[in-house]
Parts: sequence; C-alpha cells; structure tokens
Amino acid sequence: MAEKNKKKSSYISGKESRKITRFNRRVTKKLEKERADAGKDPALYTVQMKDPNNVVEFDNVCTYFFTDVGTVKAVDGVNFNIPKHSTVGVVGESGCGKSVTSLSLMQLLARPSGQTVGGQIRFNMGDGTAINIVNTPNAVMETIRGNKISMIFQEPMTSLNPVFRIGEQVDEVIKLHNPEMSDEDIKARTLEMLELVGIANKEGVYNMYPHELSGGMRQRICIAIALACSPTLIIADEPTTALDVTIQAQILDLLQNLKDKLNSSIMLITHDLGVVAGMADYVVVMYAGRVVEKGTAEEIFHHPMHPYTIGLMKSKPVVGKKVDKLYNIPGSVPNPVEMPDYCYFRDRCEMRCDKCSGLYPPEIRVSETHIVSCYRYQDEGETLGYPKSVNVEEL
Amino acid sequence: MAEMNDNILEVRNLVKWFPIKSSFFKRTIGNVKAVDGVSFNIKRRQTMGLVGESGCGKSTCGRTILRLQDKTAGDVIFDGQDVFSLSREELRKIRPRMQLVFQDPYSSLSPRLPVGEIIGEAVREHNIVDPSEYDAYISRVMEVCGLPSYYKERYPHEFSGGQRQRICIARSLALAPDFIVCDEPVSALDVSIQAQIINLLKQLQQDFGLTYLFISHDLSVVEHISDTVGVMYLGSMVEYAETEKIFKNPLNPYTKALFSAIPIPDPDVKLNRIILKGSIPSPANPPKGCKFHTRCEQCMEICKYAQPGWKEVEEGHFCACHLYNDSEENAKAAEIMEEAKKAGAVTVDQEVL
Amino acid sequence: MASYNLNDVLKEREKQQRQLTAQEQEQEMALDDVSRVKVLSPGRQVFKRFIRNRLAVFGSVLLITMFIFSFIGPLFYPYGQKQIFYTYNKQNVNYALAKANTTYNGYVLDENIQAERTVVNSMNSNIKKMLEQGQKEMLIAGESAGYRIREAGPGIYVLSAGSMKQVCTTGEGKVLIGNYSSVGKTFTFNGEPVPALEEAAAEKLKGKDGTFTLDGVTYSYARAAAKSYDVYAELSGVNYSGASLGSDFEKALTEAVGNTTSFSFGEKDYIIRKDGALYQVSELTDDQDVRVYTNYTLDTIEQSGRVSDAFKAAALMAAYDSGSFSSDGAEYTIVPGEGVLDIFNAAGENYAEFSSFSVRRYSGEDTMEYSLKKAVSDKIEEMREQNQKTSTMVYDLPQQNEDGSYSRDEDGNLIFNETEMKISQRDTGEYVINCDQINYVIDMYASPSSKHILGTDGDGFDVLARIMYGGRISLMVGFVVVFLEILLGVIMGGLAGYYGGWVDNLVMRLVDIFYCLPSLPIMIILGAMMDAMRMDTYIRLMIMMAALGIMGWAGVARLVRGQILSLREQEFMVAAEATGIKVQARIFRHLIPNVMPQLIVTATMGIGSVILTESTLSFLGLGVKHPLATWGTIINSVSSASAMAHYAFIWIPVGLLICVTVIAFNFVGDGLRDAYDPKAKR
Repeated sequence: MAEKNKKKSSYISGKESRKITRFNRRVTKKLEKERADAGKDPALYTVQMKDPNNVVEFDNVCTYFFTDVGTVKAVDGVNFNIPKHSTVGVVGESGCGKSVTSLSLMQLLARPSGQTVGGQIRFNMGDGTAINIVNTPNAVMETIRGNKISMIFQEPMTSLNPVFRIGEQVDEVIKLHNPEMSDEDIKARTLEMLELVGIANKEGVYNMYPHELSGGMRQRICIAIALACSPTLIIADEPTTALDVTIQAQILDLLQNLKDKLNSSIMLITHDLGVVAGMADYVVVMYAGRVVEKGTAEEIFHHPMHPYTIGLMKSKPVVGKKVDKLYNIPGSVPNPVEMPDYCYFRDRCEMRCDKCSGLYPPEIRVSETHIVSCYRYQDEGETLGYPKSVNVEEL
Repeated sequence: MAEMNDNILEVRNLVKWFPIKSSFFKRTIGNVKAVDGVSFNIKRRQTMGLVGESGCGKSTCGRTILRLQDKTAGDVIFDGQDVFSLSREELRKIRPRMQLVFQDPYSSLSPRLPVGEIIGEAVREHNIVDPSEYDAYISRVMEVCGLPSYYKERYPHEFSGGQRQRICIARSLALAPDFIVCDEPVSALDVSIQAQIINLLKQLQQDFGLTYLFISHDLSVVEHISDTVGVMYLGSMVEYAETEKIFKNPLNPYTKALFSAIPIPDPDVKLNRIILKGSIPSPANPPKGCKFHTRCEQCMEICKYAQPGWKEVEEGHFCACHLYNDSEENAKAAEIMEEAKKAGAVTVDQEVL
Repeated sequence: MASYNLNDVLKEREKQQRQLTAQEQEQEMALDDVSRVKVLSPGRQVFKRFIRNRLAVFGSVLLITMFIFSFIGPLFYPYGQKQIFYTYNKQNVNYALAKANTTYNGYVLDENIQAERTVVNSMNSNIKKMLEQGQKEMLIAGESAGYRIREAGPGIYVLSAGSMKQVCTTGEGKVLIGNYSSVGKTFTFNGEPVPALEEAAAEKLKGKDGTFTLDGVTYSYARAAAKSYDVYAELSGVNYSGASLGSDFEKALTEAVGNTTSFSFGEKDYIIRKDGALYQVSELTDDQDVRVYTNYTLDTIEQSGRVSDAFKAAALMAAYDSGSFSSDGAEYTIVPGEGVLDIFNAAGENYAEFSSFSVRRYSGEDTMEYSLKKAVSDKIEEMREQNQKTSTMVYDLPQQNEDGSYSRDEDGNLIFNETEMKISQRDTGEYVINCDQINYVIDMYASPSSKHILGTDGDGFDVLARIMYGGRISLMVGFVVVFLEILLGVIMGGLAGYYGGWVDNLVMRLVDIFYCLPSLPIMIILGAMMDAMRMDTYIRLMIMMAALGIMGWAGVARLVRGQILSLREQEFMVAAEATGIKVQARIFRHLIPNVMPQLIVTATMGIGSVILTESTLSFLGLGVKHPLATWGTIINSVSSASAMAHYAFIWIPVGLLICVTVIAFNFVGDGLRDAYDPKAKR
C-alpha cells in the first residue's frame, strides 16, 4: 500500500502542474519587467565595493529557476568574495549550484525561466566604481563579458566554431573589445596569446581549423581567447574535466604559470578536489545551492570542518593510501526544489545532532578566512548570520 | 596452486582494427588500430584494472572480449571456452555469464522501459529463475544494489546518475554473471556517488564471487579496486603488474608520467609532475617503433625504430620498454634500427606543440 | 548457467538481513529526491511543451473542429452527400396550342377490312375536294377495290370499301390482249391460254408487225422477242365486258368521262379509271364502312377519362344517325350541337365532347384538363369576336416536374399555381398559349441561402453536406495512407537500419527507386486504368489509398533507418545485446518505441500532404470519383473556368478547408516535434 502511494506521488498532478505554470508565468513576467526598468538608470546598478581589493563580491545571491516541476533554488543566498590576483576554487558535486553561480556572474542564465531574484553581485570595474551585475542592462554586460570577465568552458570540442580558422576566432575577440587596433596589431596580439598558452607552432596553428587540433590544444586556444583582452577575472568552468589525465596536467600547469604572469583572478569551478588543491588560494564548497564552507586552501584541505567537505575528501580514493572500504556519503545531492528549512546535509550526515533539525545553520567564522555553516562549530566561532532565501510566493 | 583454470579469462594477442573506408569506393584505405595485440589473464574473483587515456583502446578491448564486436585476430578464452568460436545460440547462452556496465548511465538505459523491465527482461529471456519467483527475484536483486523495490515501475529519466548506475549494475547482476566488464562505471558520477558505486561493486564481488575487468582512466579508483593493473597506450599494453607493485614502482615512462599527473587533494603536495608533451597520436597512424617515443622523456634512438618487446622485468611485473632491455635485446633492436635506417624510413615526427 | 545460483544466495542473505532488521533498518532519507521531488510524467512533459506552442494549440483546435465537422457534423446535418435537391423554377414556356382543326383523323370501324394505304393517305385531300365541290359522296378506285367516301354529318365522313366489277371500257386506243409464241403456237394472256385467238394468230402473225381483223375487231401485233408477239386489240367506243347496258348508260357514261371519276346510273355506282387512252368503267358493289373521318377532336370532361379509338368511331357514326351508341358495355348518347358534339353517358352526365377547335399541349399531347381547354377556347372565341390578336387569361396550372409529370404534395394532391397565360394568334391562324410555368427542377448551382448554407453544386447536391462527407473521406484517406506508409516504412527502414550490410543496401536502393518514381504520371495511368475497368468508387478509393501508401513509404523508411542507425549505437542497445536478448525483442521493444516520437511527427505532417495529394488527384478526376464526395471532387465539380468564376461559393470554402487542414496538421506536427525533442527548445 505504501509502495502504491509512493509511486502515485512521484508525478506532478495536472492541477499542481497548471498552478506551477501560472505562477512561473506571473513571476517571470514581473521580474523581466523589473529588470528592464532597472537598466534605464546607471545609478540603479552602480554600487560600492565593500572591500576594494575584491574583484567580485557575491552578496546573498539567489538565482532561481522557475521550472515545470517548481522553483529550483539553484543558488540560494551565496556569499563569497574573489580577491584580486587570486584563484578561488568553487567545489561541489553536480547540481550544487556552482555553475549557476558563474552564469549569474556572467548574466548568461537561460531567461526568462532562470532569474537572479535577490542579492548583489558586485563587480569591481577597476576605476573605483563597481556595478551590481544582477540588474546591469545587457548593453553594459556586453562590454564586460569577454573583456573584463571571460570564461573557459568544459567542452573544448564545442566551444570553438568549427568553420572558422583558429586565428580568426582569436582575432575576432580582440577586435570586438579593441576596435581601435589595426589588423596587424591584432594578429600580433593573437600570436602573442598563442605563444603565451604554450603553442610552439603559433603561425601554423593560426591558420588551422579546430578539428585539426587535439582536445588539449583546443583548450589552450580557449584559454588564449579568454586571456586575449587581459580580463580582471577568468571563470574556468571545469576546464579539465573533459581532458585526459596527462593533458589535464598540462593545462593545470599552464594555468598555474599564467596565473603568476597575469594580473587576473581566476574563479575555478570544479568537482575535482585534486585540481582545486593544486590551483586555488581560496576554496568555496557548495552543497545544494548554498555555500557550506569557505576558506583558504590550507584551511579547507588540512582542517575541513563541514561534514560534507570531510566526507567528500574521504570518499575520493587517493593513490598511495590504501583503504579497505571507501568512505561513502549515503544518498545523493538533493535537487533544490521545495527544500525544508533545516540543514540540507542532515540526512546524509554522520555527525548530525539535535540542533540540525532546527533552522538552516548560520555562517560561523572559525578563523579570519574560514567560515563554515554547521552547528557543530557554533561554540568555536562567531556566528555571522543565517542565509537569506527569497520567498518566491511574495514576488 | 595457480592452475590454468584459475583464470576465468585469458586474452591472447587480441587485435581489433577498424577499417577506414574511402568514401566513394568503400575500399579499405587504412586501419584504426584500436587494439593491437593485447594479452592478459584475469583470475577468478579478482579485479583487473585497465587504465589509459581516451583513445587508447581500453573500451574497445572490453567490448571485443565480450564479442560485442568481431575481433581481427587473437583469442579470448572465457572459462575454458573460446568466445569467438561459439555459435550464435551458444553465445546467447553464455551472455548472462559475462556482463557489461557502461560509463554513461543515461544512454545505457532504454528510456521507454520501466526499471523493473530493464532489469528483468533478460532474466525472463534466459529463464534465470522460476517464473513464480520472478517478481520477488527482481526485488531482491534491486535491494542488493541499493534500489527500493518500488522503483520497479518508474522510468529511468526519474533517477539521478548514481541510481541509474545502480540500475545498470542490477541489470547485469540479475543474470548471475561470473565476469563483468566495468567500462568506466564511475567516471560520469559525482565523487560521493563514485564511492557508493565502488563500494557496491566491491561488496557484490565479495558476496557473489564476481570477476571484474575494471576499465578506467581514473588511477586512484583503479588502485583502490583492482588486484592487478594493465596500462594501455595506443592499443598496446605497456605495463602489467599487481596493483601494489605497479603503483609503488612504475617501470614504463608512460606509466610514470600518468601516475605523476594525478592531482592530489593536498595543497602542500607541490608535486614533481612529469608533464608529457603533446597528446596521444592517432591510432590510425601510430608512430613506428615504440608508440610512446614521440612523447617520452627518456626516448632513445632505438625507440624510434624498434618496437619494444613484452617481457617480465620483475616477477609478475610485465613491461614493454627498451629501458629494461638486456644486451641481447638491445642488439636485436639496434639491428632493426639499422635496417630501417638503411631502408630510408623516416621517423614520424611528433606533433609539435 | 552461472557457477552459482544467485536467487538462492539472495534468499539466504534476505534471511540473514531479517534477523538484523532492527539495527540495519536505515532511516529514510527525507531529502531523497526520488521520494521527495515530484517530476513531470513523460506524457505531461510532452503535453506541456506542446501547449506552450501557440501555433500547435491553434492547429490542434482546428483539427478537432475539422474532425467534429466531418465525422459528427453529418449526423446532425439533415442532408446527405448524394441527396439531389429540387426547386420550383419559373420558366416561360409555350404551354399550349389552339387551332381550328382542319385535318381529318380516321378511326377504324371494321378491323377486318383493310383500306389501301394510298386511299387512306389521300383521305384528307379527298375530303377537302368534296367540301370544295360540295359533294356529299365520292367514289375512289383503289388498286384492288373501290372506295366510297360519304358525308355522315357535318365534319364526319365515312370511308367504305367495296369490290369493283369491270363493266366496260370506253375511248380509243389499244389494249394488250395477249402474247403469241410461234414456237408452241400458243396464245396466252397473263399466262392464261386464250384458245379463241390461237388459230387466228398462228395464221395472221407474220413479219415484224402488222394488223389483222377478226370478228370486226382490229388487232395489231408487234414482235416483242424472237418468235414472240404482243397482240393488241384496237378499241373504240364502248366495249362491254359483259352484256350491254343500253344507250342511256352510254349517254351517262359519256357525260361523266373526263369530268368526274364516278357516276351513278340506275341504282348503281360506277367508277371511271383512266388507263392510258382508255377509260375503264367498273361498278362498285357491296361496299362496307371501313373508317370514319372527322376534324373533330374529342375532349373528355374528366381529366382521367381516356377513350379508345373505337369509342370515338362509334360516337361519330352515331352522331347524325341513331344518336346513341355503346362502347365497352356502356351506353352513351351523342347530341350534335353547333361546332360540337356532346357525349353523355348513361347517367346523362356530359362525358365528353367532340369539337372542331382543338386545344392541345404544345408538344401535341392531350394532357390538358377540360376546363382549361374550355377556358382557352372561350377566350379565343371572345378574341375572335373582338378581333384581337393577343389576350391574357389567368388559370390555376398544375405544377410539373422536369419530366413533365405532375408534382404532388405530401398527400398526393396536385399542386396548382395561379398562372397568367398569354394567348396570341400566329400568322398561320393558330393560337399559342404562353405562360411562366413553375417547374420543379434539380436545384443546380443555387446560391448560399438559409436552406443551403453554402449553396448547391451542378448536380443539385448540398455543398455543405458534401464538404462534411468529403472531409470524412479526405481525412480517412490521409490516415489510412499514412498508416500504410508508416507500416511499410517502419518494416523496411527497421530491417535496413538494424541489419545493415546488404539488406540496408537493397532497401535503400529500393527507396531510391521509389523516390525517383514520378508519382503523378503513375497515378494518372492508374486512374485511366480504373476508368477503363469501370471500377466501383469504393474499390477505386481503396486502390488509390494503397497506391499512395506504396508511393510514400520511402521517406518514412529513410527516416526510420537513420533513427535506428543512431539508436543502434546507443549503449542501451549494446546492453541489450550483451544481456543476450533476442533480435526481434531488441528491434520491437527497444528500437521502435524510441523511434515512435519521430514517427508520430512524420505521420502528422504526412497526413497533411496526403490530403493535398488526394485532393489534387480527385480534382484531376484520377482519384475518388463523382458522386462520392471528397474535398477534391467538390472542387472538381466547378473545374471549368466559367464555373469557377461564377460559383465561387462552391470551391472557396473547400479550398480554404483543405488549406486550413493541411496547415493545422503541419502546426501540430511542428509542435509535436518540438515537444518530443527537448533539445530543439528555442
């Protein structure tokens, strides 16, 4: 009997479905209108950085997707900063919201169903001013994308256009953001970038088509394109996941070297703790749309505090460390739809206590840079505040 | 006590070439040498890890062993039977005993069949259990794989990757197999789910005495699960040994580079990485001599002309590399090199970065 | 089989687990997605995506409307597709012709005696001659008999026939009396031997010609052939065949010869016939009445009263005689009046009348009722008196059908319409009665009205009804043809895609061949063949559907093959093979269900194009044949340029309907494709 009910309830009924559709239509329409209005006046999206040494400050960012199955709170009250000239690794499993965070920053969400409904993403323009990307109009965003923030994607196979030569594709980006440059200068700059990303045969590669290159080479080209305009921030979204181990080593090595050469910050999104450990200065661990722990790489890797971070590290077999049975976190990352207001990790947590059934844990500062959301450390540090979710019903 | 029949699988010099056809006349103009002479044995109740980069032929090797593709040459002996000499019907009979778990849990489940049917279809086909026990049996299999039995009537699209992979494993397990080829079963999964699946596979091996051929590019996983490890590069096996031996003391330069490339989740371990140049050459036109010579840091002149032999360098530790040649072999290789040079053979230059 | 029995192992485990139950029972994961997050069922997901596409929804609404219209509409619509409609149509016609009868019609009195044709034919002129000369009686000689015409009363003449006995000849001339053959020395006249002249002839006939005299009669002869002579008697005066009738007779004869053709002498009548230079005089004896001639026409008072010629003959004979007669066992009396002869039946009712003034339908049929005849003749009488050439009168005319029969209402009563009749006299003296007659005719090309919302076509069919029924056939053709296409396409494409190799090659070459077959010429040839075989319309329809299906499967096969080729490489197919599932199960349980969405899309799109093809073929007269309605045949019924121009109300609605249906199918097909393929989302 119980089985029957479970089966029945796994599908949304027609009535619920219609209700969701109506709600989504109403909310997205309203949000789109608000966005359009906010873009009219620069004063509305010009803000002040809290710390001028940060490139980006995520301040309680809430990005929701209004889907057919309900409101997916993909990013729900995310707070973290990307300081200048540093690498911030965002770690989490699939569905934890790390990619949506980066898309929110680029304003590349699939609108109208995906909307940043609350919080601020402050981007330092470098001239003392800052803009709130959440309600920056598209025209302004176009001057920022590729120029001040650029992105390296996971799939080097699909992120290059197969019908244009490599040179043309790099040229195009440079020309777009530097219209005053002459063609010769642009080509010189392109060749310079190709050399920078470690392509020895730069003249030859300049005239090649993407299909003539291997995956690792293509990813280098993508990096060259991303770096072409000397951006202040590079978002690397799983840059090595699709690559082989030996190629991954090459690319990581390249990024490591480049980071020192360039004045950029890197937001490195990955699920691979190994990659983050080698690359990042700061690490942000996300789970089900929320940041559960953040700190410097040393803090996170040597003193992981959140049970999820600990579990994640234990469940990855490490070469040279023989264990009989891998630690495994039971269950899976929940889909952030209609989440209850208690710690999202409680169900999978081995260290849960009675407090965990209460409110979602607040951010607790255990050291200058180390912040964790778990009740277990409430006594050890300063409680900063609870994450603020946006009540969609009130929109 | 190592008897011959202790090996559940013996692969001898297996070759699988995919012909490249010219577009118009359909003439074979070349071959993609996906698997080019691979030999190994797997003992009962053991796990062999097969590692290598993408395109090295490890998946093809796995599928050819199961005769999901025809071989080009070589033999595959499964439990004393030559897999490629079986008739169609005999093959169908033996299928349940050798199973396959795929990398992509999304495309490996038929989207229009409910889970119970996906798992049970072949069970009915092969009369694994008495029809009266069929339902209970499927429930039991699902339970073992960590799937509540009420999932039976649901469709694959309702499940996450980890659960789908459990369904895949349940589908294979339901046929009571002896041998499962796991073709990158965890590489599409999240870390926490990877651990679950690996533990499940290990548990099943313990409980039912399964034998695995574990294909993966993730060395840490392979190290964890395997008893022996084979390393493949461009269709050939370059090193084979027990897991402990190979990880402690990798012999082949490729293996060394591969192992050093593994990212370690510890910011203090600033490793001494061997960064390989370039990428894996096309298996349609592999380099002459040692296939790895184009990227090898310890490349010698003979490597460019003579293919290294497969030999036991230490006890139970096989390797194909000229570095471990004895003088006799060196002389032989030098001879080949001289001959090739005389014939005017040009070495295939590596793809320059 | 496996080296272990998994089921037993599992059962064993289960037993152990049950013992451990308490501690092992895992706490249910409250945040487990599978039990917590509800998802859209696949069907609802497709439905949602579908209804998000406005055009697709619009198309579906159109299609549903179309189906209701075509399949349910006819149940509520009062007319059928082959129901012919009639209408009352006013036509100006020459309704009747009225004239004074001048021709005399004969009625047979005695069937046993046949009057000679020449005599009968010349009766009218003979009677006219009698009238001109004021004769009461006339004798006529026929070939074999003599005839007498006598006036039995005003306008009534009786022809009687009797035998003619030659009395004498008169005048001068020669008469062939025989032929003499000198071989047999025989004298014959018309084959009869004449012995009296034999001897004389043998003696006298010599040379080429000559004369001789015998007993005061001069004979002449001439050689007609070798040894054969024609012998003539030279006559003059009166030569009696029998005994002489005296000088008085001869005197009367002389008087009559040359002036008249008959004379009476004594109590006997004689007929004079001219025969060359001679007059032959015969006596008419024993003449009996054969026919009675009259210029009266009979009109019965009752419309239904049809009388036989025998009745008329008897009446005419009685008119100026006894005044009473019987016909078919009934007694009648006839009373002569002025220009009319009234006939009363035994009850004394006026039964019929003969009148010399006839009023008949313009076609000559006697279908008019007496009162109308009477009214018309009265009117004409009035016109005559006032010397008018034209006049009008009003009369209740019965309504007629196309074929001339009278139309009746539900109770079987005749329908009358008050009609103004125009009577005008022609130069020939006849009066023509002209009127706007209301006829009940096939309602062709009727304009849209409340009765026929879209009017009627050239066959009097209601256009709206035909569009409804036509929709049934057109939609059915669409579905059946597409079903056939899909069936063939799936089988062929499935085989090609799954087996590959030479099967694939063979099927795909077959597909190529079907692609390059020119379908229109083939359909034309097929249509012509079916025309020649005079096939039943429904069988034709089926053959056409089969032909269209066979012509159209190639595209489906190509699609299915492509789909299966890509699906075959999918890992779940490899998995199915690895688990040792049989080939047909792999095709039908794993492959085909996954091709279904594409098939549904193709089928939906295909129905539209099949409907178009069917309409085209039917329009060209190659497909479904009249009178079976399809949208094509409806347009075909106004295929000529002038009809197209004048009867736009017939083809514009159907044309629009075809357009709308095809577009709707395409919209729905597009919507389904987008709904099934989430990747195609915007």
